[in-house]
Amino acid sequence: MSAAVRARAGPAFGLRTTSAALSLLTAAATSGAVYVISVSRIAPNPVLQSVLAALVCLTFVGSGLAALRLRPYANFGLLLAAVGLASLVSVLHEANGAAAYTIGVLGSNVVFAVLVHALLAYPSGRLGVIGRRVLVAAYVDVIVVQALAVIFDPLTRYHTDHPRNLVLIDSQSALATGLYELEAGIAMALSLIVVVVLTRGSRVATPAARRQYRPVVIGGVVALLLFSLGLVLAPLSSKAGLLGFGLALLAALALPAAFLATLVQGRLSRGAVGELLLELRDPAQTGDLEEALRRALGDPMLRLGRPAPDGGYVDGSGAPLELPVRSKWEVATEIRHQDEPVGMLVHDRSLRLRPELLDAVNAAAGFALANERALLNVGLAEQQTRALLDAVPDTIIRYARDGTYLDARPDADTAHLFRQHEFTGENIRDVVPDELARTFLAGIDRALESGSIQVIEYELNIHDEAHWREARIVPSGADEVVSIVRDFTEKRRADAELRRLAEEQAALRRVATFVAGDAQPEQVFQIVTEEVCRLLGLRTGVLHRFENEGTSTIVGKFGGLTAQFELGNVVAIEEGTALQVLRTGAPARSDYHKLTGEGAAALRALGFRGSVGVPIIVAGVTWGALVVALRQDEVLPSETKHRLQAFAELVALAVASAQAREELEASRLRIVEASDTERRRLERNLHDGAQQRLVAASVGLRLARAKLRTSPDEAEAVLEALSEELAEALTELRELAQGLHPAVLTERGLGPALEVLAARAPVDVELGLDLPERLPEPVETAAYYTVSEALANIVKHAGACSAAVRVECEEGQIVVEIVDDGLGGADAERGSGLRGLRDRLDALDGELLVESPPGRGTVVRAELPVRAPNVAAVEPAV
Amino acid sequence: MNAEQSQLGEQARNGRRVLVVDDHASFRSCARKLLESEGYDVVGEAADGSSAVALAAELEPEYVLLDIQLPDIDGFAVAERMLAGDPRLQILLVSSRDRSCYGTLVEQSGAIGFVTKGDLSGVDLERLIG
Repeated sequence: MSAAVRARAGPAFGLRTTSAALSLLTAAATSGAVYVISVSRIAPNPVLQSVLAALVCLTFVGSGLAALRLRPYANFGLLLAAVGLASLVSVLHEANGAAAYTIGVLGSNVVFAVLVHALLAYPSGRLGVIGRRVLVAAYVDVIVVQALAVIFDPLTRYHTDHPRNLVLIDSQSALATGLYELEAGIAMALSLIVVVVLTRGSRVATPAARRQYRPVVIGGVVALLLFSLGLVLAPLSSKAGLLGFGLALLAALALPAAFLATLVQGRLSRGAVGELLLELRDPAQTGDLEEALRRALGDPMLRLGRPAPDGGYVDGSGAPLELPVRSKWEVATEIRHQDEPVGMLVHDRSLRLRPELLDAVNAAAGFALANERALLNVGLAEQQTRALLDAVPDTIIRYARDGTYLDARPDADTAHLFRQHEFTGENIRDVVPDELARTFLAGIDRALESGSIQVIEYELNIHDEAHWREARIVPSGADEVVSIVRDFTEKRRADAELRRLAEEQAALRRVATFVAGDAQPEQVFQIVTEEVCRLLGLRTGVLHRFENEGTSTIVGKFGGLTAQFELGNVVAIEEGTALQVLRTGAPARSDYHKLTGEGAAALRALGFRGSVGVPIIVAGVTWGALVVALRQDEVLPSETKHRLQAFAELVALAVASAQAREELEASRLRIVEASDTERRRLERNLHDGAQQRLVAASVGLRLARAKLRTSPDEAEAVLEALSEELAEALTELRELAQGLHPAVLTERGLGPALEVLAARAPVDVELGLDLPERLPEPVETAAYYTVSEALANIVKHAGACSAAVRVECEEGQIVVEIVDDGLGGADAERGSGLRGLRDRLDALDGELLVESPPGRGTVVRAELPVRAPNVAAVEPAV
Repeated sequence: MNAEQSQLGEQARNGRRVLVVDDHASFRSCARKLLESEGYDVVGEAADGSSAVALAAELEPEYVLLDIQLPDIDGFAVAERMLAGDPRLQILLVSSRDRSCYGTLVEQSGAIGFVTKGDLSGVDLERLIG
């Protein structure tokens, strides 16, 4: 029951007590009335009167008791009962005793006022302002005016032998009749007022209220009018009056009859609730729930609100539902289901008078709305699930236990398969390869038996391409599973690529480590060839070192080839990959089926179909080629050229490193040789020069001593010669010492030393020096001997008239440049002096450049870093 | 050694013929003066090995004062060739280096002796040639 209905108050005392008391009172009163009539001396038709009196009384009281059980009608029920009991008062009009008779005469019309009361108070039992006034007037009329008439009425017009009127003051029939007519007129007027009030109330009321009002109002109004008519006729004729009263009482029966009809209609409405429930049971026929509720409650103005997401309620169109505030006609009743508000009914206030109906319809509406909400939630959940499924890029398939496709949502890769087949209803055995079908069926069985996810990985050929897929099989019912299939080919490829890269890096690292070690280039060539072939998964590879005149030496080899491709063999480079690499200095590829040479034919015969090669470029020159050969059954791996290139670069590094090592060793050897040569030169110079002169002096001294006494003149001549000889020896020794290392260089630095050198040169030397005070000793020495050697060459070979020497320190390096105007044509590689200089400069990370175009002089330019790392003093080699 | 020197000195006094071979003119000049002052007859001078061999064959000296270090062929080879032409030839090897520099080459050369240039004097020659 709704809160609004539950809030209605019931009668102040117990229903059972009231009903019992009323029943007893009615039984007593009716019995009394029947007794009074039956013993009456004046009753014209005791039987009929008894029946009529009992019928009227019991009908009203019975209706009243029925209304009492329906709480909204409780007050009205009491009034109905009051009408019934009041109708018995007039029975005393037939009493034999004067007192009873007089009471009967006085109260015979009270029933009219009670009837007016009941009609005005219908259906709630409460009265309005007009109702109260009319009622007061009615009671005054039927009690006061009646009493006034009775005290002047001798009561002779009905019976001649009627009991005595105990309240008769003065028998004035005319006055009495006038008063009776006044009473009748007032009653008639009040009846008309009641008719107007009821009619107006009926007209302005809502349809539901009208439907309740109408029978009662019609019955009541007819009864009132007849009763009034009886009152009017009574003074004129006793028979007519009696007839009027009789008809009025009979008409009054229309009131309880109409009321009972209304109650029955309520019962029938509850039947409509049953229909409503049936209607709601089949949602397809429900259509508009609001309309169904209107039909069930008989309220065409009813509005149904559903909970809005932000609180409050909305109507069927989604607009906010306006709830009635202090409305006379409409009230709102909350619809609850399982103690939760699920909706709101705005309906006719009068429906509150039929709480059972309202409760039943409310409950039905609660079910319907809860159901509707559940359906909505299910719909939302389904929508979310569908969105979720759509967002999953995988194939989703439902299978029956036996492998029959129940439903499928393919991914992009397999959509075409699903278009080709009408899968639903087909069996997996008829669609995928047998082995895969068996695997799937086993997985489905395991999933259904264990209730847990089963994972299957498999390979499927799609568009002639192997795809790796993973199916996760989950039980989705007693005999069905859902399989979510994901394609992880890309991931697998990426993993394979990562593995390949890791292997490649490892191979490169091994080779690089090898190259960085003291390995001989020949070992590097062989290892590179092997590693490359293993990495690429190929069985054959060759490393060529290009020689002169179209030949190459096989310096690395992996796998079997024709006999000529043996390690160390010098082979003629035929048309093919190696030749293309040699010509272009770029990666190349050959197809042996398109080549005509004998070599290609031999390789074809061995089962090779082509080759790929990359150049090995050392110091800008194509040194060789790394070539891998492809057999008929071998597939060229991706990025082969790029991957070969990485190894080719390592080979180039190894070769360059070996060449550098050789060059270094040669340079060292030259330094040693230069040093030896210089020692020999020194020894020779000492031996041939100063030593010979000293020997001659020694011999001369002995000769002079021998001649001193015998021939003093000769002795003197010998000593003279000896003096010259010693002076010569001294000069030679001084020059020799100067040649070993110029003292001024050590003591004063590069600038003064070069000035001495320039001054002593037999040609004009222009010096341009821009130097700091001192430089590192090895740098000064190297620069000094560069100038010294260049000037010596100018004097010896160039035939120059003049030379310019420029020495500058710029950007952390010293630049020494000697330019002459001589013959030119000098070759830095041939002269031992310049070669020695180059070695000296190399040792200091320096560089020597010689430009000597014939006839246009020579430029010797040396550049060397001022802070050469790990500089070791190098003995002069020139 | 002393026997060799005394033999040379004895023959010199009798006007023995000597050929001086050395690539240094100053030494040749000193040696000629020294030998001549001691009574030897310096019949010729040669500045290299080849001309020395030719002069020895031509002049037929009795003694040869032969420098080991010569521009073309060394003194040992010269001695070998001279002795091949005239086995009686008395060859005295000289050098500005010490005898130890040449090891057993001096003994194997067929020369009658070795003397360092600094030690060369009339007395020594006499003692050597004897």
